[in-house]
Amino acid sequence: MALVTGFQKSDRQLIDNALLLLKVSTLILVAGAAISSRLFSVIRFESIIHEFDPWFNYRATKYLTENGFYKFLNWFDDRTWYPLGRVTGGTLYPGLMVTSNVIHTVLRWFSLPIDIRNICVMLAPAFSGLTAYVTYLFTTEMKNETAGLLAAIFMGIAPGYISRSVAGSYDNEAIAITLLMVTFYFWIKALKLGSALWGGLTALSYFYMVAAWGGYVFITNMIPLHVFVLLLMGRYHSRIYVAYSSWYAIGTLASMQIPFVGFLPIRSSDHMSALGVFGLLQLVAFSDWIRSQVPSKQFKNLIIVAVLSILAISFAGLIGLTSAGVIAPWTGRFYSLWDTNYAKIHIPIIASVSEHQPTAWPSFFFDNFMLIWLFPVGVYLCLRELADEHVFIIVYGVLASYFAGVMVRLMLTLTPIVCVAAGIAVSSLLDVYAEFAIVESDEAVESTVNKGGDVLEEIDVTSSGTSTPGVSSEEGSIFKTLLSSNNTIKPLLAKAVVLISFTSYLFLFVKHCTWVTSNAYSSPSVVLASNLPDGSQFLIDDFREAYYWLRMNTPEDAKIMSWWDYGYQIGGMADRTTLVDNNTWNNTHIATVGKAMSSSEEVAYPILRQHDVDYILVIFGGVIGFSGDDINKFLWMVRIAEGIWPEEVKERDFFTASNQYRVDHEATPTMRESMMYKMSYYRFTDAFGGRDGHDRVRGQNIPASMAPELTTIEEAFTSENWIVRIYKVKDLDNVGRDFPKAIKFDKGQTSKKKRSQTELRL
Amino acid sequence: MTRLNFVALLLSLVSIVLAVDTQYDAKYVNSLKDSSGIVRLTDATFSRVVEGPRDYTVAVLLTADSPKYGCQFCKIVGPPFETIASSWKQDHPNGDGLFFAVADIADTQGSFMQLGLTHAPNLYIYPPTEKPSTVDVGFDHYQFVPNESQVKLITEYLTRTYGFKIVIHEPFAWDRLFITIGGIVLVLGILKFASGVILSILQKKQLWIAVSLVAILMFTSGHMFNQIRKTPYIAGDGRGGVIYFVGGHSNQVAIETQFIAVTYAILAFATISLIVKVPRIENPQVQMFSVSCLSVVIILAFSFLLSKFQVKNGGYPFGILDIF
Repeated sequence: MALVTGFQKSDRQLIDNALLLLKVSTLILVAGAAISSRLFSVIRFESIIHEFDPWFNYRATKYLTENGFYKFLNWFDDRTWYPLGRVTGGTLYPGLMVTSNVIHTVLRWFSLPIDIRNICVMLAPAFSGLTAYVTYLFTTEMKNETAGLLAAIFMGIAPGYISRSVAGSYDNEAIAITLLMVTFYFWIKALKLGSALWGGLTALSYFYMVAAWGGYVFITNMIPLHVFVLLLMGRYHSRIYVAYSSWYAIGTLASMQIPFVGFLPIRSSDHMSALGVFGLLQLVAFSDWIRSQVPSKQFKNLIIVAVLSILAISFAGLIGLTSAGVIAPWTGRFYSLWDTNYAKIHIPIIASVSEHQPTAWPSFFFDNFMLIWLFPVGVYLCLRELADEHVFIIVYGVLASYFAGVMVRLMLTLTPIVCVAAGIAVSSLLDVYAEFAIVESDEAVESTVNKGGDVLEEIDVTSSGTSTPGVSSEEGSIFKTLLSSNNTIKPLLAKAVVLISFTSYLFLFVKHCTWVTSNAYSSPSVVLASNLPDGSQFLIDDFREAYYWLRMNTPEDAKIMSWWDYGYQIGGMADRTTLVDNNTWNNTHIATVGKAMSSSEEVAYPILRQHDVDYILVIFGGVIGFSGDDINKFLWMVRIAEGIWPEEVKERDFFTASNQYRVDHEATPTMRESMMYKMSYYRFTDAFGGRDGHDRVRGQNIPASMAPELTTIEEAFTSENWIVRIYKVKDLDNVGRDFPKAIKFDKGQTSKKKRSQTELRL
Repeated sequence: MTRLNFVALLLSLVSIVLAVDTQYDAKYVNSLKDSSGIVRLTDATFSRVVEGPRDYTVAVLLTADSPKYGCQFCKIVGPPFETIASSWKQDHPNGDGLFFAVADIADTQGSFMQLGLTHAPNLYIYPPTEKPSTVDVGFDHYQFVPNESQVKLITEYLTRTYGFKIVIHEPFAWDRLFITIGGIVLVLGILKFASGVILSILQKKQLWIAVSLVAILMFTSGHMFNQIRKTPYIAGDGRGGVIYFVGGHSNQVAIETQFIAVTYAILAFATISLIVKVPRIENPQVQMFSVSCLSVVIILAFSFLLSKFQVKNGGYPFGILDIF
């Protein structure tokens, strides 16, 4: 390089500038693609909050902007979990709401009065752009900028991440995945540099993550595991010590400032691995220091024995403290990750949530497309390279793919590492096959005039000299070998074959991602869309219709009973008090609602009275064919109720003798007498003109002769497509009759005799 | 048909006569018990044990254990029933008013016919009765629930309905204890004598490459789904044939995992070879040849994957080569 002349120097500078421009514009385009592909639902419907949990987050954010931070932290919500209420301020992760509030405040300060709802709707796409950028930084640390840019593109549009971050999906995960990647990026930086500053930054982003999502436990266990594996591999270094200790000390103290977390980091088993590795690292550091001071072999043995015995004692202490109850055992959700049958037997409420189900292979393929088979390629290359930071990818990859296999929702934590590994894989492929530096560069451009690959390959050709792959590998770096000049593909045709085929796969990937996002992940689930036979769109807006009816037609303090799935939506859209909601903190209360729904009117009415229920809301899809309705969820209500009252509610009673779950003429008497059945099918046959009604979800006929009759409640509202049905609970009878009698009187059945006598007299 | 009914009627009549003639009490039933506390019924003893009047309760498991009937559920409920019976015997050697009986169809064909049973297993519980009665009246049909803990369900039912307090004594697994101890000793011994070899094996990079890649391939092709849901290995198409890929986005049979894992592995290793192996080849012709081969492998495997995904997800529009 000493021979570089002035002309060459300026030439080099020009190239560098061009490179920077390309990089920046690529990243901006990636962010643009990431954001715009998440806007399907806003364009199709409107700026609307999706699904269930986001409605609560939105409501909490509104409370925060209206009442300020301190009131928010001390918020006792008396409009949910009636009559118990919920200490909301102390039982939520405030990160998401505070983030939106800060953005809101800053924008107002700039005199940009944007409605808080629009900020909430657009928060997830905005953060996904940021995630793509952080993934770029992270992967650059692992290999080079080419890999970084590829990983950023993958991360921007991978459906596995889009599923939780479309516009309107205002949930904790929206910002949590960004923070996850930021924390990991800082951690890798800290580890590589041995810098307490980067360690501190890791701790700060960890704190933000703790404030934002319960899944922070993943980081709490991931980083210690990485360190532990490095120790096992005999790779102890003071860099590790500095990075880990600064992260653990600051991060743990910071995380304890979140009211909901409190003393968990020192009292719950989920966090014990971090503490244990912290202790282990001190011991290893100490023995390492002794070893460097004392040459005697005997003394070394002594140290080893001492370290081992301290480990054994602390491990026994941990077990002792756990059994004594000082340290809380693993939380149910976390425990169910290891013992996969645990939740099914002990906590039906966890097992009942569809996103806690295990993952079949189509889901993996659906959410990652070709990345899922590029993932092992990237992991293989990392294993060959095996610098300290690559161990992280491997551990993360294996662990996250296990978790994603056990629970569908954890696909979200797998996606980032899949994108990173695939980025490394594809960039390695390009290292070999897009190396046209020796051949004429004109042809390089010509053979790759494909829109997507063009920019990347250009960068790759030129950036190969500047990139610095990971160091400290024993056998020599494989990433360097890929770029070396004696490792080339000679036939031009071979290069063209590989490049063209992989470019078209990447095209297909983009198409797949767009298709998946458009078809599967952009439904607000508050408004349902379907296509009419002529291809035009047909919107089913029953939910908003019903919630608006509640808001307008019921007293402001009315108590609405529904299954917990709809609690947040009722709170957010109808602004009415609910008995249970999606924050499933009190299993008994949920079981109470389950019992009321699954028992007969005579049993349910006292429960309804005791809980001051004014209206009952049920979801019924039998008319329009909406399969996510309450009758399909009914068995979970029964199971959860049976968990508390095994004597009064029995799942068995809802199955026919041949062990089938039926709603037609074969339905069991218990089924037919249950509140849920009656409320779902009340006057159902009337819609069929008095003939047998056909349930389009279950494909069974409801006999008109057995049409359910209601005595203690009355129909108040049924939405256009019958999806939402609202019933009013009757007040006690004015003259103290019981309900069946009063009904009979109203129908004039008791006075039949008299009337006939009158007729005779005439 | 009528003849069969007539025979059954005749049989029951005969048995009534027999029952009235001889008053069998609990002592007789107790004497029939085998070492595990179960009364193994035959056609000869069935009616004697079960008919009224009786001063004891008897729970009869009507089962078809022999493999020729292919009754899977019989095999599931059999051992729990025996556990309950032996636990009861341990606390109540004389029965004390409750007996557990097993009637296998192999020995009690006549009784099965008499009861008009077409499927197994059934658990019939005959409570005490004063009146003389035949085998096909006066019993309580326990409904099995497909569940992990049959022991718990059945004992709870007996406690709730008949007031028998059954304490379950799980037989102590001596064999398991010895196997565990032996295993630990063996492992320690191996560690003592071959620690060097083991350490060098554990330090092999190839081992860890294999372990991590196999783990990842298995997990991402839905292995945990099979584990948790206990999916069948293969599905039938209803016409005697088999199908390897069942429809449905969140549904699969175990063999799918294997197909998909192998496909992923082929794709991954072809790509790895393209990246790592091919550039090392010196001869350009050989290089060209291997690149073409690997590219064809990738395109075929990827097409296969997409076509199978279309089976799972009906409306999926993309595919590469439509040959599978």
